Amino acid sequence: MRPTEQNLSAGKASWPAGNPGPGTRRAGRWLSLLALLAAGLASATPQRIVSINLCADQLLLTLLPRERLVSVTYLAADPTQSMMAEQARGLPVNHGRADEVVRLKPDLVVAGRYSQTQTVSLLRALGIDVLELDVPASTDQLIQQVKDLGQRLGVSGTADTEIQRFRRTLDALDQSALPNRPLAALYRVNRGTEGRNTLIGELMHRAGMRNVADELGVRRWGTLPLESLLLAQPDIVLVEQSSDRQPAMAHQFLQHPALRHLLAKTQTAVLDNRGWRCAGPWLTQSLAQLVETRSRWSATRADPTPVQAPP
Amino acid sequence: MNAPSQSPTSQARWLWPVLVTTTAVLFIASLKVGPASIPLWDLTTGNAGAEAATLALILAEIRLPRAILAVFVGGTLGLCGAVLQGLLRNPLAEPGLLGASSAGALGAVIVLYHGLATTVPLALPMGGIAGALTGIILIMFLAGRGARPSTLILAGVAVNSLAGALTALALNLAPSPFASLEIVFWMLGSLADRSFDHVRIVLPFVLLGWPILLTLRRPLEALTLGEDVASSLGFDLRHLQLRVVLATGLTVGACVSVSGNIGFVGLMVPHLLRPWVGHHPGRLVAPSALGGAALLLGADLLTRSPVLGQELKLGVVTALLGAPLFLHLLWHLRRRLL
Repeated sequence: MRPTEQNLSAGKASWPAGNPGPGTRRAGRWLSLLALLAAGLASATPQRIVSINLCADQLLLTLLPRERLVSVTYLAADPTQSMMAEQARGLPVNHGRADEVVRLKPDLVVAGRYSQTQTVSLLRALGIDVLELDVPASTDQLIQQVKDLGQRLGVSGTADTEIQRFRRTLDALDQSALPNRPLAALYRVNRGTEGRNTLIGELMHRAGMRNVADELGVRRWGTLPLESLLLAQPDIVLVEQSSDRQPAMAHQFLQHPALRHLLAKTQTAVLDNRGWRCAGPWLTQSLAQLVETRSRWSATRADPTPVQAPP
Repeated sequence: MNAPSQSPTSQARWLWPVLVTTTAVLFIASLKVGPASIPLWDLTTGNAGAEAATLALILAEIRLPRAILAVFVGGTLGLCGAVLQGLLRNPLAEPGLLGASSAGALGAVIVLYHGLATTVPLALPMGGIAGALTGIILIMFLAGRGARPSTLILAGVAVNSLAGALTALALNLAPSPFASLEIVFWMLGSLADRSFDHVRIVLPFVLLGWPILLTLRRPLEALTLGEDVASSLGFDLRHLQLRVVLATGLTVGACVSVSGNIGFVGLMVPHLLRPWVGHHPGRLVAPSALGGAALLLGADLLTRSPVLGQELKLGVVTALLGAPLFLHLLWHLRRRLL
């Protein structure tokens, strides 16, 4: 951002403040103190940022001006993987390998905490500053992450604006206080599901749904056998759809006749997994879709519960 | 359990009843056991209560195709194991160790992940069959009839590792982001949440291949007298070999394309049954089909054990059962060769 760049240049310009004349000594001391401070600030605020993780890509694209992003992953510009594909277009891409990153001479590399430990330790051994992003399991953790990231990158203002907008939308959409909470099942590709201690689990709760995974004792991630899904007799089935339509076993499970039978008699929503696979402000889009699904469900009931209109 | 020593050349009379009963019991257990315990009797008499419709749906669309697939896949693997062991006169021959299964998985992977399976009907089993045929033909060239067990196993190792590496490569190059995660399915196999669509994929090839394999009893029996005697008795060995290769490729390839690579069934079943048919390779064939079905039904039941909390892959269970037997066989072979 502008102010930081000015600090940086100011710091460099006023650094050689040696041999002040008599009389200006006092002012010179102050000046050099200021210069030190500015230089300290400048060195703490990395300018050349490289991201080697898709989730980091998207958060950085949200918070940073384009010119500070030296490189993002090749997935960031792929519209089937990324919510920020438009913004990422044209940026140099990397494949998350240490040798690519070193050549870019970054001030800071942002990586994922669990998927890239080898690369991260190699980069650190080479003296490169690496920030590892946790995988937030709740919107609170996401907000904290954005706040920390904003401070580290010197864009606290942008981060705060994003956080406030995010909080406002979350609160406006919130349906968790409504009575008559429908039972919803999240059926992910490859038969996965998620419980309360995940982002999508929290969004389901905020959309005023009970979660089949919670009732089956799945706290975070688990498998949802088709039989268990049928037995739970959910009111709503949320089917994960990968936005790439490439053939894989993962999608075969969605073709199962028993599942189609269930989908025919329940409220169904197809969730785009880009909207919640990575944590970011775009989660509100998924929440809006869940709220819309819930209101479709209550509309079909004899005594529909009033639903707050989304803003 | 002392029948073999009493009558070393005759088939135990109770073998068929025991096999049929075991398979039937396991089949019914397979319909009944799972996340939902299905009251089969109440369902048929209409006393299942409010959940009847759901339970009937689970029974008809999830449990039944799964049990039928276990019979088809297990039966195929048992049958092919018995026939290959008879043809190659080698106790270690079976589709898994020889690489036919993993080559079949490679064929299915190429077809499925690169889009052919959705555009061309029957492309998936055809891919599996093409792969399995390639694998088994390769084995026949590398170590055909009369090869030492160790040569056969080495050839199997070669085909297996090549097919495994190419499968990993095909999955890495596949456009779907899920592909590389699904390697576990292709390497270890599973029957979880399969449907009648998959039964329909396998059925024609089982109907085509099983009769060929089941009628090999007399030529395999003749082969025990030596190749020369067998041909003088009028059995064309090239013809026999061709039939085995074709039928194995058809059935194993089709099965692997819906269940993934499930190992050791074809090794275990003939060995467990051999003493009870008087060590006749010909008589071993038909019981091995039922034995394979029973074994896979049982192994699939174990994968669903509620003790584990999460479903195991089928190949994990068959390997845990089969690998000790494999080691035991190697140990005995070594002693015999010394």
